[in-house]
Amino acid sequence: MDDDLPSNFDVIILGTGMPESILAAAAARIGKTVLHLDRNHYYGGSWANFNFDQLTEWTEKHKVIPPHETTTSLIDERWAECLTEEETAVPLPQYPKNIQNVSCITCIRESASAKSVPEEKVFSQDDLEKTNVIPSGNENSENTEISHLAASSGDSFSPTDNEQVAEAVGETELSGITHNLQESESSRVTFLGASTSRTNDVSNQEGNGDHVTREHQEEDTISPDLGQSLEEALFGSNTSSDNTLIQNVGEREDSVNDVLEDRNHNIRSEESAEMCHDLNLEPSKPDKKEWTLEDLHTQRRKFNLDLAPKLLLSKGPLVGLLISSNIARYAEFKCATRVLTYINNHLEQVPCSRADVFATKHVSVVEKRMLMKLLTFCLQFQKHPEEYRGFEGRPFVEFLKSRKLTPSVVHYICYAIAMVDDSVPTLQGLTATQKFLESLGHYGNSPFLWPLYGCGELPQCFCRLCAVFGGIYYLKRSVEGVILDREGKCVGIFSNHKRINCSWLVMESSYAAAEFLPANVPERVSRAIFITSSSILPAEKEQLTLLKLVPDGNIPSTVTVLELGPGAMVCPDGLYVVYMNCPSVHETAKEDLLPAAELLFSPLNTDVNTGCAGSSDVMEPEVLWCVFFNELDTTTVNLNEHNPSGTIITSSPGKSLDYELTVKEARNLFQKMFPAEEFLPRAPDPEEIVMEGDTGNPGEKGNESAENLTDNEIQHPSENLQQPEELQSPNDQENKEQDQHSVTEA
Amino acid sequence: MLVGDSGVGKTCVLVRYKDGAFLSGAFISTVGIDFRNKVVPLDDAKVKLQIWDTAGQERFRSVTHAYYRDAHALLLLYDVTSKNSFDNTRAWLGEISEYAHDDVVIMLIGNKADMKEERQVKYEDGERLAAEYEVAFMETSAKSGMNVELAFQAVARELKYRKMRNPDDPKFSVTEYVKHESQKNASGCCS
Repeated sequence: MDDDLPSNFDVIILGTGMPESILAAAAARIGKTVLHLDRNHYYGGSWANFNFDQLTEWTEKHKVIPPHETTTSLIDERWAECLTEEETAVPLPQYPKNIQNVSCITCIRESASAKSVPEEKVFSQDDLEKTNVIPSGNENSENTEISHLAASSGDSFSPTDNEQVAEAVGETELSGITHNLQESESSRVTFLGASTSRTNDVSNQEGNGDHVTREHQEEDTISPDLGQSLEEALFGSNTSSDNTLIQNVGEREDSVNDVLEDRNHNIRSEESAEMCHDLNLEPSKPDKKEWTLEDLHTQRRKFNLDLAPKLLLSKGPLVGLLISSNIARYAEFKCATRVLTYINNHLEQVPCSRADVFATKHVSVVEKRMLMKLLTFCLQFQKHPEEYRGFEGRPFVEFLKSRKLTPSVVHYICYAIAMVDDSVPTLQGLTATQKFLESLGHYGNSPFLWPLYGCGELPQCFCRLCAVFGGIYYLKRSVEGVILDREGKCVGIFSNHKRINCSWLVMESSYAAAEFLPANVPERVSRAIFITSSSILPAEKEQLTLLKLVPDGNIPSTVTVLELGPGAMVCPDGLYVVYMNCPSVHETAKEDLLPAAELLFSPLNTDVNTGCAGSSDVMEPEVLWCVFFNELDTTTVNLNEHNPSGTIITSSPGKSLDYELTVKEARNLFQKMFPAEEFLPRAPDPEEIVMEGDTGNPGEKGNESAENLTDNEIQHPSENLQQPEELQSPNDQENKEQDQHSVTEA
Repeated sequence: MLVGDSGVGKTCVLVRYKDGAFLSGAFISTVGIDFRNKVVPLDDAKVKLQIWDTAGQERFRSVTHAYYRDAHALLLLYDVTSKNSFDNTRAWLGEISEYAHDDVVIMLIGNKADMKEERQVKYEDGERLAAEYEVAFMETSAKSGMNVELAFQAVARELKYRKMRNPDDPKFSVTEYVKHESQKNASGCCS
């Protein structure tokens, strides 16, 4: 198999993380020959996602302290044979040290047989009966499939809204606006329409948009209407509006929001009653399940656990790139549904859109006006420099306080919307707020998107494009050394005792030899993955939550928390996955993140044999299993200073929440490599590709081959067939953007 | 989705089915073929198949896992003239069971059935393996077109059956269907 590998490439890339994969796709896209290698047997490197067993395996592997490199001995005769006299070879590390202090805690028993009596949960029979009526949790959140376009009509704080803002303070006037957000909330987002989504659609002849999507949806036999009436019966109000398709909806929305807010507000005090809404357990299940390690292993494939979870800003550079390059067709997304903050010793939902602002019960009408005014200003703060004159270099929080905002409003803006700490200067804070607001409302009630099945899918999407354009992929293939010519320029690699030449060598920082890297990489990220039994703030439907915890006495640095449920395709029904990360302060990630875990969860049950898990009456989520680890953060140093010419070094995922830096990095590096070339131009749709060599097929026996190879006519009926009504011209990128534009302006 | 070793003819089968042509020589490995759409009229309905190719990533066993995520059906191909490609189908089945949906429709296909002289894998061997894994089986030839249409038809039928499942409908078995249909055709085109 090895010998099949060509020995000359334009670009060799080591590591299949995000920046490497983007570069691979970009290089292949402009016709360069690409060899993409990874030392692991999986895609993604530090950006990978795993099922439960794979993560356990990864954990075990990284717990072992890597042996010292014995690199010098690697330069053996075989290398010498391949080198010309003027060439030298530099060995590459075989035992990367980018992951440290891996610590895994299992808080549940090995298997159910270890103890026979399952602990009873505190639900009353009434609660359980209610639960039975609610179809499985996915029904609420996943019925709507919307296109990039259809979703873009949300309340986006666009400049044209400004005039309305002033007079729109009264809550009653907002009924129409609020719904724009509600309708698209938590819906599945596909940038391209159904024609290029990865599903095989089965439609009947009338083309009523009846389509097969994912497994669990097929199980949801309940139509939106039915679901709605069920919920109305349950809650006695219009709370179900969230899952209606994009249509109708009238004045009732404001009251809905109030109802929702009330409910959220009361959750902490009435948890036992409210918890039942949160149950994503199968309705037939009488007791809350006691999970065992065995269960997690049995359901391992339902887990998609990310090493480097991030969110995409709806208007951010990655979403832009995915759309402009046509790579979006390989992935599906879900909108984050809420941003939480920890204030006054409890979790609260941050009102970040106009709808939220007017719906929230946490702030008075006067505060609402202040908040709206400030958010509106932030959206185009550059036009009003007089508003923040004198504060440019001073902390953002001081600027906010100078606006006579109440402490909770300052808290919302500073820590939950701008997501900055107290030291960040005003200009930076304003920019961060603006970025947040600009991305708001395009796909739903938050500015963030989550890739279904996890972030580890994203590098693979770029790899797929690279492969489609001829890139060669080889996982589980290590590289022993780099070959430098007389001038010290990289001309190739040694891999598995084979010399492979290249013009450019791209490597993720953990592949690079120590002498290629800055002497000191000072920063690290602390990360943790928790599998929990319930949500940190239960709501009646599954939420996709972002929470920033501000440093205080216990919490050493700002902790980013993401909570995802089964609807995000990351875990089995009935469980949640919580990711945490923060810049490392202490030696180990566990020290950094345990305080945050203690704040949000029941105390970790470390003695599994006492069977505490599942038995306590505490309503905080219980952690079933978790892992902590540190990762070197190479985003904070200049990686391309000490490396040989002809090489490019790319960074680790780092601590940022979104992909802005990653895309910027990849774009800059690409320009360095191929200055005159276009970065990821749009890839054609399959129907646009005319097959080469369609004339005179020698193998033909003259039957139906006469048919035109690029017979497109046949396609059109199908696309109409399977387009759900709410989709608008999903294929046409330009139309789409125009439409989106006009929607925003409308 | 099409899976299987390099060179077993995945892309040729796809192009044969989609465009009714046979690719020869020029296409050594998959370049530029991402996926293809084709609508299959079935009785009173139309089934749209979106057929994904491996983009050459199978060459070094590096197919992106994301590729399997949403597959409703997988055509697992081997080359009847390559014992090795047949032996590797077990490894592919392992990968499929790791990443694909539990209820994915799998069909084992022995391609290049037109090459009688070079044949290394007997029809019965394929049949036996398929029975072991309880998947449907047939032999095809992208070159002559034998059974290519039928393979996709059978998959489309199965998908439609699953989607439209109606308790009154007679049970549809893709295995039985394939057996029945290929026997019907056997005398006609390939012997």
